[in-house]
This record gives sequence, structure tokens and C-alpha cells, in this order.
Amino acid sequence: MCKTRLDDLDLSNPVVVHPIKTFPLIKDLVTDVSWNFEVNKKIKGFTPAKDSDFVYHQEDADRVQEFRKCIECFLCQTVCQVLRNHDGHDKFYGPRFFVRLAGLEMHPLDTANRLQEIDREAGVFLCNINKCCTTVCPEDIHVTDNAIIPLKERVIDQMLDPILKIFRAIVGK
Amino acid sequence: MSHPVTVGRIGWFKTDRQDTWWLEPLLVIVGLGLFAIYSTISAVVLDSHFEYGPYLSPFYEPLILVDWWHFSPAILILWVPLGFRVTCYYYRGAYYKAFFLNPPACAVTGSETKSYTGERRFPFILQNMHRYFLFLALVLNVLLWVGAIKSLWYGGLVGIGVGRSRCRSCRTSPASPGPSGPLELQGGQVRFVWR
Repeated sequence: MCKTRLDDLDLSNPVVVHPIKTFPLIKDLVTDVSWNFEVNKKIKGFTPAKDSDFVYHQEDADRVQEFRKCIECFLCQTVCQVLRNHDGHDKFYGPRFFVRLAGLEMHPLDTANRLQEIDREAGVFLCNINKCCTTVCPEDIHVTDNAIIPLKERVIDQMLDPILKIFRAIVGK
Repeated sequence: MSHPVTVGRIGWFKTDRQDTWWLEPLLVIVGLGLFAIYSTISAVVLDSHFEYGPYLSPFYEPLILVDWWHFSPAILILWVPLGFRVTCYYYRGAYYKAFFLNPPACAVTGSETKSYTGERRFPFILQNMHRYFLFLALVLNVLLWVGAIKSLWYGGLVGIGVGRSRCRSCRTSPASPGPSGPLELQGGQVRFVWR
């Protein structure tokens, strides 16, 4: 991993370093990760209301702060089985961008609605919660528990839950 | 996209990992498999040995005996905790690895298919009913606690026997609904003030 210390390793055996596997190899340890930056452009950015006063609770700030620790090493992308094993690049954004989407969706001042995108273009339901992204994150971001599962539950809540749909149709909300 | 990205087939169980990555899925297969066999025998096959004195097998709590049902009364109850556990986020992650090899372990190649649809198509879209199984399990949990308290009374006296040591309410306890437990109750909303 990108922050592994040599003194944490058993140096009596050779230390093998590979390039990450989910993206095309350019040379040596260098891979072409530009696909990720193309995905990033598709996400609607922070959209505060015009009259926002940017005062909110510390707890809300703390909540999204975790997602801002991402250093875009893309280890989560390379270990994600949807990208790595199922070639899902055309229908799945990958864990790094669920972290970004969660940071935007949970921001107390953001007003944009990205749930349709999270469901369809980003393909959040392709994730099967195997938590490999969380395991490899060098910044200790709880990608699955704090970003992906809440996004799934939001989409279920607003778009998929049949009982809630009926309830909203009756009460008109 | 500026260019397509494709990994191509790698092959089953291909990995550069040198640790015992296979141990965790193996333990899940053995542990969960044995529990499934034990539960089936206890709840379905041995369906006439579930009650003694104040004790009732937790698989049968609350006991529903009705004329029109000719199978084990446990089946009328067990679909709730079964559905709750099967759709639990934590369990999903474990059994997708162990039983579906999707993937067998992190950075180990398992199932590879371009037509993978995850939990957005039938049957796995039904995993999203987890919240409703949670609601039902919480109701069942109250009934389990009632049963647990009733089992403390024996012959008009209060006491604790060996049979009491089995924690009934642990079966669906809200104290252990998995790492995402409260999220279903909140519809994915965070626990604090705004969203």
C-alpha cells in the first residue's frame, strides 16, 4: 500500500511491489488512472443555496471531513471487484467517487439532488459490501460503512422503497 | 470517457497475496454452513422436542400453534430472523465472498462477468428489504424478551437453570444488528442535525 512502512514488513523475504491492476500499465509502476478524472468531472459539484450563511453544527462538519481525507491513491478503485473482476468501468464510478458523492450529499449546505445519478450512472447497487475498499484505504476512511451504505439507504428511501412510495402518494409529499 | 478501460479475464483465485487469504472465507463456509445444518435440524426435523417446563427453544419463540399449519411451528417465526440476517450488510459481505466467490477475498480473482448486475436486479435487489426485516425483528425481539422473563419462573418460584443460559433475545437483538443498524431506521440519513 502507498503508506506501508518498510519496518512493518518481514524483510527476511523479498518485498514485491506491483503496479495497481485495474488500470492500464504505462511503464514500471506507472498506470494510466485518467479514467478516474473523467468520472470525477461527471459529478455535480458543491451547490449551496444563494443565501447560505455557512454556519452549521460542528458535528456536520466532522461528518464530511472524513471524506475529505482522500488522497486519491485509487487503491480502493483497484481492489474493487466491480472494476477489477467485472470490468464495470462503463456503469460504476467506484468507491473513491462514492466517498466524494457522500461528502457532497451529506454536506449541510448542499442543495443538489444526486440520487438519480448515484443509482443509475454511478451504479451504487453494483457494490456488494465486501469492504475491500475500506481495508486498503491508507487514510482509514470507512468507505463502505460511512459512504456507500448511507448512499444506498438514501436511494432506497427516496426511489426504491415501494411502501414509502405509496405513503408519499397518499400524504402528497 | 476519453478511452475505454478493460482489465480482461484474470482467472479463478489468481492473486499476488502471500498470506492465508483463504482462511476467512473457509471459516465462514464451515461456521455458517454448520449453523444452517444445525438450525434446519433443530427447527424443522426435530419439531416435537422444543419445549420443557418453562423452557422453549428460541427457534420456536413465540410459539404459534394453529390447526391449519401442519409443519414445524418454528417455520412461522424463523423467516423473520433469517430474512434479517440474510439481508444484513455485514453478512452480505461475508457470504458473497465465501459462497459466491465474488470475490473470494480482497485482490483475489473470483467470479468475472461483464453482465454483473450486483444488487440492482432480481433476486439480489430484494436485499434492500433489510429495513423491513429489521422492523419485524425488533417486534420479535420484544416477544423474545417476554419469553426469556417467563422462563425464569418455575413451579411458582424465580430461578435460573442451565437451560436459561441460552440468550433468546441475542437472536435478533437490536444491540447487534450489524454495523449499519441505525441507518435503515434513518433512511440513510446521518445521525446529526441537518441531513
